[in-house]
Amino acid sequence: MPMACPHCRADNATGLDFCQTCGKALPSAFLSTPSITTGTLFATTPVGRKLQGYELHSKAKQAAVILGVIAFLTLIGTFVDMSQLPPGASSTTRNVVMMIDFGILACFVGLSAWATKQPLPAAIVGLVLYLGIHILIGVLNPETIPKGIILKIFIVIALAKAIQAGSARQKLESMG
Amino acid sequence: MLVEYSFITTLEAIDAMRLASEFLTGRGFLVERSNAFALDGGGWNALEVRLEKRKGKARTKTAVDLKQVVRLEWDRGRISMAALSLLAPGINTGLSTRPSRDKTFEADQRQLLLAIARAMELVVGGQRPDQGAAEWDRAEQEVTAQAATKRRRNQPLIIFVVILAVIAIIVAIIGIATSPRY
Repeated sequence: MPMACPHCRADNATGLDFCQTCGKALPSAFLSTPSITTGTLFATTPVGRKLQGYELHSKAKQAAVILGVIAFLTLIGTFVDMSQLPPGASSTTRNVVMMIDFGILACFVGLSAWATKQPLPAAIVGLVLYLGIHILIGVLNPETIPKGIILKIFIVIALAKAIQAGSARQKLESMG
Repeated sequence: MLVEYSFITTLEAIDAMRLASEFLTGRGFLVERSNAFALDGGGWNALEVRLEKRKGKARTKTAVDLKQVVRLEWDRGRISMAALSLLAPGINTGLSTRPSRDKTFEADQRQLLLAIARAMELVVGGQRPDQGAAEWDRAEQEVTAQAATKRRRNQPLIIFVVILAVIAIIVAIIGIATSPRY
């Protein structure tokens, strides 16, 4: 049974996606009724996937904020470290402490900037670095482990969530 | 939660996008992405708009308060659209592992998204913006009314629980105060 093109009224055989006369789209059975996607499922159309991709990207980009917060906390930590050094500490010790702290600070500032462009790798590197530093400090001085533990857990969870969003987006992109 | 839909429009790309843009911005949406001014010669065939009514998750009383994102693409007279309904800030993107608050809330969200899809078909496909707006408004009113009814239904139970908790606290205080140890 022929199908009339809604654009030019020309008759077309059924099953065609586009009119053979004017080249415009013909009504098709695909998504002829609205389709709902919930939970962890991916969208079925490129438009839906684009929308999910943008949302996941902005979610992953929150890593930039978290890494910025870590950089800010490192800056505060630098002043605290400097003030807690014994009065008789040599200038070499002071310089070493300052260099380590400012090195870490620079790393997190750089990672935060990177996360605005490529949130997934930046968040992974940031999480590894953050955990590595805290594990090292914890091994060297176990008394520091409980200090600010809630904030530490919050940062780790936030970075993990950003990584989760980033990897979901990558999966979405690989679907085309 | 995400809705996807596809329908036919006899409008050309630029007219379809302009109509959709006017309709959606008229409802308070802000244009997020649009190739209206693209220099690649491809023409205006895509539009993405966003509406953020409430900022915090705790302040979201009904599905109507959720953040909404709508994207439309025109391809040779076919409009492919998708609309997202999100819990701020950025959770439940349709890929979230976190479920919606409850079944009723999810049903409201579903009803609203389906209404958005139908409204966009009426606006861009049928060129009947008034009917599209009416469809959308009706769904929003229904969702709001259902939520209000649910809140009213739960009110006596909440009051009862609060009174019970207050009595329990008073009894506990009296019990502690009259305890021989004190």
